Amino acid sequence: MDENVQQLLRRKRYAEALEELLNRYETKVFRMAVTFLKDPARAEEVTQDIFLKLWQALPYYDGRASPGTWLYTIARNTCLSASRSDFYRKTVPLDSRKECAALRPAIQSDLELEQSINRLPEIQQVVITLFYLQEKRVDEVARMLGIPEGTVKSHLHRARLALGEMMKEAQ
Amino acid sequence: MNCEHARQALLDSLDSPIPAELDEAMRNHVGNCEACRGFAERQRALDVRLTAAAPVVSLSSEFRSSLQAELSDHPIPIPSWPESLPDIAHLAGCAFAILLLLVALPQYSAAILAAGMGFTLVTYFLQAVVRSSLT
Repeated sequence: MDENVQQLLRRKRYAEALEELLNRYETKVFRMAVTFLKDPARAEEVTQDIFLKLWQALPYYDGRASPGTWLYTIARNTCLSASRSDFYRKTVPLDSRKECAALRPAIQSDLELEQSINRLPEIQQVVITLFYLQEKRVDEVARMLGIPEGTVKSHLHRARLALGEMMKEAQ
Repeated sequence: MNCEHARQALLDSLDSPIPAELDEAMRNHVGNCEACRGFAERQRALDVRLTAAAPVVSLSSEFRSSLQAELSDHPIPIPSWPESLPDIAHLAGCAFAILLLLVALPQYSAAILAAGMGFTLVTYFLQAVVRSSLT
């Protein structure tokens, strides 16, 4: 799939390349944004920003990383800056809409669990939330965060151990 | 298999499937060790809770149309020069400078060639780093 995108980019067929990337990554990128921003409506706006940035950057793709990894780098940087800024960029059509397909923030349906996760170090919160939102794919989480799979596993294990201890205390 | 290895294998099994032999050894240990059985039950229960609590989030049906509207407002910028032009200009400039120095100072030709090649390589690396940080 990523090879198809690379071929399209080499032929300067940018609209088709973007379509392929949207088909494959839009939900993953959106879930990543939900993890970082904890607000699906805002995450959808940021997802739009991410694909807009990608669109503008397509002619400059140099092939050093796969298009998916490249997209995740743009997504990670955009999510981090959006989560740090109160003045994130707004786009009118999505702003005017109050409802989103999913309105619950990440891991909110189990309040006790959510509170426990919030007590973890930030990187462990991000890794464990992404892991469960992204259908339990360690490799995908590693690509998204730009860290080795071993590091993802290490954060996951520490988070599981800490959450296990919290569950034990709560019993 | 000791307790530490069994717990590590259990945590690994929650991340992704583990080899059958390791899985069997872990299950045998957990079956015979009360402390590890409690650990395994807690971790499996936690995994079930985390799986259940993770919402199935999806984009709204308006996402694509809204994005398309934004894309049409932001046409793709077409680079005004070939992508390889900075590399070509850099290498041509360095080669020209080396040639000039060789003509002006032929007695130092070996040193000029060595220093010129070194300078070319270092600056090529630096400009590549700068370019990648800008894109």
